[in-house]
Amino acid sequence: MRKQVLFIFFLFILAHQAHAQYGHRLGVGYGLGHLSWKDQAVSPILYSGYTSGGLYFHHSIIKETSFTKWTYTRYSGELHPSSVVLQPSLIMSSYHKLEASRHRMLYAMGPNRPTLFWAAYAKGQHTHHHHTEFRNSRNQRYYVGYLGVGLSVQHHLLLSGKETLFSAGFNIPLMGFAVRNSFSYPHPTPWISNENQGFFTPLKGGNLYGPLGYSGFDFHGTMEFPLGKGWGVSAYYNWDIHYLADVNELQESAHQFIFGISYLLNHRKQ
Amino acid sequence: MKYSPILIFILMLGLLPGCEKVLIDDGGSRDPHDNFDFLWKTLDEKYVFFDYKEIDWQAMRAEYRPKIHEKMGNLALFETMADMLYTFRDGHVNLYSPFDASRNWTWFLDQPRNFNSAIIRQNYLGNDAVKAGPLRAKILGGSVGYIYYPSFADDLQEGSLDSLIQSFSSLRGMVVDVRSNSGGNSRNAEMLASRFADQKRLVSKHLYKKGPEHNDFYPPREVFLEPGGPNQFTKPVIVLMNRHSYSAANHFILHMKALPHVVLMGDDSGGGGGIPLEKEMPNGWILRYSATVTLSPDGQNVEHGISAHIKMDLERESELQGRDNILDTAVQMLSKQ
Repeated sequence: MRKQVLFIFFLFILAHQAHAQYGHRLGVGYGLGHLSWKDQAVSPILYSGYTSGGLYFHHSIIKETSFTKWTYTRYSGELHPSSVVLQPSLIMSSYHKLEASRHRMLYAMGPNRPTLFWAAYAKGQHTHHHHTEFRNSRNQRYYVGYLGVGLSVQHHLLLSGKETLFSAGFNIPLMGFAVRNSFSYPHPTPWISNENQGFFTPLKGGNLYGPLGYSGFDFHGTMEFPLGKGWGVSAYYNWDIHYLADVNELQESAHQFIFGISYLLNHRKQ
Repeated sequence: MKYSPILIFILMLGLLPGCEKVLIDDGGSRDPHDNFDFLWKTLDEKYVFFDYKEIDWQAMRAEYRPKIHEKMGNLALFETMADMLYTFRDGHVNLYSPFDASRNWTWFLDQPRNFNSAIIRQNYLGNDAVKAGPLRAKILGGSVGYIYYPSFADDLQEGSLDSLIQSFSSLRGMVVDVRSNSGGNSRNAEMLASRFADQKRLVSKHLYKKGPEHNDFYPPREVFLEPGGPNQFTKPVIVLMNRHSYSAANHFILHMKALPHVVLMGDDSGGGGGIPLEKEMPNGWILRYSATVTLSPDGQNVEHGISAHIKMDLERESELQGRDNILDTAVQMLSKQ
């Protein structure tokens, strides 16, 4: 299934490529991260630990005064209780995150000066935690996502004689969506109330949250260093912290460092 | 100042993670009051049998909270909490600490044992019993299949179960012994029961909590048993049970009870109808509690057990002779079918 999705995605890119008026940058990379997580559904204790990215993939469509970016990341790792407690415990954590953002130029400060963009932003994240000390409630899955807005600044600077892109920005959620465990059971409510459970069943019972229900902050910074002939290396940092005011409160803070290579498929036609 | 934006950027990266600890506290606490209040509130909102067992939870708080004080040690705190949890008379309510686990096992310790595993292993199964995963099986009396399942915590294997059912298909009847099986994985119970199902049948109803009030439940979710595997045994079956048949074993018995060709024999089962879940305490101990209610198809709560169709005790004389009169009776009944 995952291969089929990736194949269709590549077909989409290639079809788009045939009519390309703009640059397409594809990137793959590997990431390291740090996750802090507290879910009142299973524990009042904050768990944190280092994670590593099994896969990072991004695709940017670059236009004259705007760009669109898709990013997929997968992280996993071991989380340990951050406070001194009386019984050793461990959580195996993994999450998949799909992000899409559309940036439009807000203000160009002038030639060789930074450019300001505003962005519409969407993020979806599927998380799976496996609590090693628990039995029936050891497997916990949930989905969270949001639509938000953001601001970012881009600037090209000469680094080792090459025009290197630096960008930094932040996003703020306006509306959240979450499919969480039911009040006192680790499975999402649709799994409890629905006899015929399909692949998408868990997504049917989600809740929408306003800015007071789902709040957070998402900071990101990127450096793209050109190697020539369309190739480049990139470094990406993201700090994503959010809070879900559910019946079982959820707090997550994730730092991601990603290092990868990218390739510009076709340069902008003049 | 050529690279000042880069410096600002790097400084921002360094400062941001420092904000994290301000936004998310670590949540842990060893304070006895914090832990008592957490335990009390968690159960108040999530335990499912307060009304069924007529537990006055507010009165419990009034009785036990004054016993908590800041300077008490972990052992004293544990014992106070364990004493309070003991009143639930629920095998699925436990407090796990590094040094002890609280429990109330009066539901079988105070009852007749009605089972002697040594007699079963030595005088019935012997050396030549079939070992199909965690199951032990043998043909008794020339025409009756006997399956002994010591623990539902040991996972069944589809292939060996299919093979066993196939090899017993020509027999007159089958005895499934889940005495002193204290439970485990309910999926094993469902898998085994499915090999005896003749058609899709309603076997139970489950209630899940949807809010903090004691009776805040979703509408009952119906649970059905369907025939499983390539072959099913639909001739007469006797299930042997005792007060130590608990949790997943109780779940299995409830499934089997819905089948018309099944008779339950021995003592009433031990119960344990709620699915137990775990939650961590602020000090790291783990609290386990019944989080769901299981009802029979006619709406009876099975938390305190399921009645046997044929009540029978293991007789002392029989045991002294190395025989199990309950199993012998079951084999005799099925041989006459």
